[in-house]
Amino acid sequence: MIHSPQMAAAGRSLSQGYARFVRYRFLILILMLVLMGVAFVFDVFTGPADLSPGAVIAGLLDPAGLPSPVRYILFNVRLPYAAMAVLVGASLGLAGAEMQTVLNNPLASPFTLGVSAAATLGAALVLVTGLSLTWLPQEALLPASAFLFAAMAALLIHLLAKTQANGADSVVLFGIALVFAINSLVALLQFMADADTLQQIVFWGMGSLGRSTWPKIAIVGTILFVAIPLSFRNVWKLTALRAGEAQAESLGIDTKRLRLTVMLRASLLAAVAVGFVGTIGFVGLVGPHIARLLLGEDHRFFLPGSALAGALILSLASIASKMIIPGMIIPLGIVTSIVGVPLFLSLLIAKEHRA
Amino acid sequence: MTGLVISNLSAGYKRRPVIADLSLSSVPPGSLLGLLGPNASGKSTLLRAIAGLGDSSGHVALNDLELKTLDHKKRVEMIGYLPQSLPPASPLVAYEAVMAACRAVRALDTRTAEKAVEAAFVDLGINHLALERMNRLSGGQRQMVGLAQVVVRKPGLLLLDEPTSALDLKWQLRVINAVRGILRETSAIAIIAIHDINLAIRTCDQLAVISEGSLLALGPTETVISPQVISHAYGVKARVEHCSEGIPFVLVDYAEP
Repeated sequence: MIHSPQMAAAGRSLSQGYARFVRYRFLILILMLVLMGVAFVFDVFTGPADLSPGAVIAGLLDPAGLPSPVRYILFNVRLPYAAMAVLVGASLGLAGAEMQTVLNNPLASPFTLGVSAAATLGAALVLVTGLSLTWLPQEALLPASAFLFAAMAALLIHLLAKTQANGADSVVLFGIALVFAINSLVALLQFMADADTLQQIVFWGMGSLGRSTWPKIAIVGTILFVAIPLSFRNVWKLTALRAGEAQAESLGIDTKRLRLTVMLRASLLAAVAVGFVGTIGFVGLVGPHIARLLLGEDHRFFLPGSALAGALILSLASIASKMIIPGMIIPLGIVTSIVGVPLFLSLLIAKEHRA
Repeated sequence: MTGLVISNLSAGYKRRPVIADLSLSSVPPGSLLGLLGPNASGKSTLLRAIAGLGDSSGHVALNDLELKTLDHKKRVEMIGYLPQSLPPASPLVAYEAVMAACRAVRALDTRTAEKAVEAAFVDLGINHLALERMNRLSGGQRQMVGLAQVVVRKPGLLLLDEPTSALDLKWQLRVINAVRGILRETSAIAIIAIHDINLAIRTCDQLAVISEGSLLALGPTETVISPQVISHAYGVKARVEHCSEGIPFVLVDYAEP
C-alpha cells in the first residue's frame, strides 16, 4: 500500500468520523419512533366520545370491565382508526420514497403517478353502477375495486417504464397525464351520478379512516411487513442509484430491472393502502422529503425514516381530524396537508438556517 | 499475462455502429493507455463496450480471459468503469456514495468494506471530502468521488471516461498519479479517454487515436503523435515541438477549412 502511517491513521478516523452520522441518524429514527408512539396514544385518547385518558387506559387493561358501548368505541373505532393511520402512513411514505429514488424525481409519489386517483375511479365505478356480487360482501367490494384499479394503474406505469429504456422522466410525466385522464373519468361518473351517489364518491375521494376494521388492518399490515424486508434487500443499490444512474449502471447494477421491480412493489403497496382508506395524497410525496431533510439519502436510514414520517403525519392528521371541529371527525384526506405543510415548512426553514 | 487484447469489436446503435471492427493489440499489464479522438469519435462507446455496457460484438480478453464468457458478477469485479457524467449533487455523504459503490453488488462484511472505502479516499488524497455532502462539493470534487467509487473495488481494468475534464491542473496530475500508483501496485490496466493531448503525452505509456469509430494510430506516445495524425483526427493544423527537457508537445495553429 502506498499510505504513510499518518494517512493510515487518518483513514481509520474516517470511518470513525462517519460513525457520528450513523449515531445521529439512529437517534433521529428513535426520536421519530417515539413521536409516532406518542401520537398514536394521543390519537387513541381523542375522539368525539367523552372518554378520559384514565378510562381508556383502564379499558385497555381490563376490556371486560367496560360498559359495552365504551368497549365498542375503544376497540372498534379508536384503536383501529389509530392503527390504520399508522399503517397507511408508513405504507405511503415507504412507497413514495422508493418511487422518488428509482424515478430520480422528487415529485414522484403514489398520488402524482395516478395510483390514488385510479383507486377513486374504482370506487366511483362501484358506487355509480350499483354493482353487487353474490360472493363478495358489499363492504369488501368497494376497497376491492379501488385496489384493482390502483393496481391496474401501477401495472400501466410498470409497462410504460419497461418500454422506456432510460425514461425515468417520461414515467413521471405519464403518471401526471394519467392523473388528469382518471380525474376526467371520475368527473364524468360524478356528472352521471344521482345526488346521493355523488356525495358518496366525493366523500370517498376525501380519504377517511372511517372504513377501518381489524381484518383490513391485518391486510394492510401484512403487506407492509412483507414489503419492508424486500425494500431493505436493495438499500445499497438504491443508495448507489442516488450517487448517479450512469455510475450505478457502471457498478453492474441492472438499473432498469431495479426500477421495474421497485416500482411494481411500491405501487402495489400504495394501492392496498389507498384501496382501504381512499385518496390521501400528501403523505407519499412529503414523507420522503421530511426523511431526506432529517436523515439524508443513505437508504438504510432514508427508507425507515420515510415510513416513520408518513406514519407520524397521518397519525397527527388523524388527531387533528377529530379536534378541528369538536364532536365531528373530518375526512383524513382533507387535514393531512393542513397538518403536514407546517411540519414540512418548519423543517425546510430550520435547515436553511443551519446552512 | 498478456494484458488487454481487443479484436473485431463493433458497438453502438443497431442501425448505426459507432465503433466498427476495431482491434487493439496487447496493452501490457500495469500500463496506462490514453484514448484520444475528437468529440463523437466513439471514445465513450468503446469504453462502454469494453465494460460490457450496451450492445457490442467481437472479443475483449483480459489476461487471456474472454470477458464475454464471464458471468455478470465476475465481470463487474474485474472492470471499473467511470462514466463521463459527474455524480449528481445529491444529499449523500461522499463516504456513503463510495460505500454504496463498494457494497451494491457484492456482499461484504462491514469492516472489510470500511477498510476499502478508507483506502480509496486515502489513495486519491481526498480524505477531506469524505464526510462532506455531495451537494456541497464542486464539480471537480464530485469527479474525484466518482473516481473513488471505481477505485474502491480494486478492478483489474480501469476504464476512465475523461476523469480529468472538471479538474484544475494540480488535480489532473493528482488523478493520473493516483491511477499510476494503483497500476504499479496491482498490475491493473487503465484506459483513459482524454482531451488534453499534452497531458496524455506526458502521462500515458501508449496512446490510441480513434476517429469515426476506427483506430487511426496506436503505440508509444512519440510515435503516435504527428501533425498528420492530429490533422486527420481533429481537422486542425498542428506542430509537434519539443520542450527544453526533450518532451514533445503539441501546438495548434489553426482549424483546417
